[in-house]
Amino acid sequence: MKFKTVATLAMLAASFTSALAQKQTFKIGNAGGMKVAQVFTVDSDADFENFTGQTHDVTGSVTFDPSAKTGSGKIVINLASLDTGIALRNEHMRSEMWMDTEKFPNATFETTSVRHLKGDKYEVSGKLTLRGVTRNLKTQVTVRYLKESESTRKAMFMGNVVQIKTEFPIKLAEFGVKIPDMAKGKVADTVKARLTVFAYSG
Amino acid sequence: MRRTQGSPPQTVPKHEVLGMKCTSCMKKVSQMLATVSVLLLVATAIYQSNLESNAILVQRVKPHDQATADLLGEVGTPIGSPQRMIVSDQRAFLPGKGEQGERFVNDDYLKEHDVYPLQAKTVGYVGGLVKLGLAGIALVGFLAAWWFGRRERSCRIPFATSTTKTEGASR
Repeated sequence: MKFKTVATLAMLAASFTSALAQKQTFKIGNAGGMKVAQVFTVDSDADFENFTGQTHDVTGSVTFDPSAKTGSGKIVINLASLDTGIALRNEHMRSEMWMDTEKFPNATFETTSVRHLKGDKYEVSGKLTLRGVTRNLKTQVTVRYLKESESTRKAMFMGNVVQIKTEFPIKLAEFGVKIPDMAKGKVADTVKARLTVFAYSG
Repeated sequence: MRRTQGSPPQTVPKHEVLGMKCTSCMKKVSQMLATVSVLLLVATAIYQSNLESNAILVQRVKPHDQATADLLGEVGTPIGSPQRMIVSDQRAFLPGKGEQGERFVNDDYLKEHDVYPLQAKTVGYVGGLVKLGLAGIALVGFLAAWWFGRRERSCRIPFATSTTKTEGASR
């Protein structure tokens, strides 16, 4: 009799957990007055100077299961809106020689696997497409899950929210960018990409 | 120079006088060039050092509004990595410091006011190039002054001999 009760409780607990462990779909972007900025930056650390290109035009969607600690997603970054702080440099960055944004306006990242490491750290593998070239990418990602509450509503978030943060190097030559001689010392061969986005469940 | 009637005959060939004057003049120009270069080199070093002493480690940040900052426990989203910059407008700074002691700078403020802060790295790079160039000019100036000085000294003896010979020949 006692065994039956324990088994029933265990089953109930398991079904409760599986009910909680549902994948949620989150949309990256701002809606309903959300004030936070989606930020994608690329840092170039060269001899002459450092510069950062940034865009807030990041869209996409992710699925995340806070209990099972798994997820997936696709993120689209509009490179045509990348701003380096100097208009002439922006023009150069968008040109055929560099990002060729007329032909390839977006960079995309699509996950292929997500492995939980510890806490809010995950190892994410996926495919990064830039200038029409797709390469495998493995990076560490921090995912903060914020369940809807008074505080999230006060901060104008819609529903549950995940904050996704990651950074990874991009070797420009691997994506067909050949740095011209006149730009050597001003642009690094490898730039550091950083992504901080907020996604809401609505 | 025109010879006037009754003046003693010119004993020194004109081109030698001009040559010597030219050598002396070039020596002075070289000395001046070297001196000015050294002065500019010192001025550049002082100016560079002054600029670099004003550079501090900063992290540009896209700030959150207060409610979001309270919720997330962060002042905003970092833009780029911390780096040494010269930010003279104190209103650009946000409260708090990062893990490396870097001060937060409001990226929105910089954009609104069209401010592109000078980087210590650029100051060092450009300053180094300018100093190298000036040191090169100073060196060339000193070498040229030394060379022209030697030439000037060596010109004096043949000049004297030549004058004697000319005088003798005229007799």
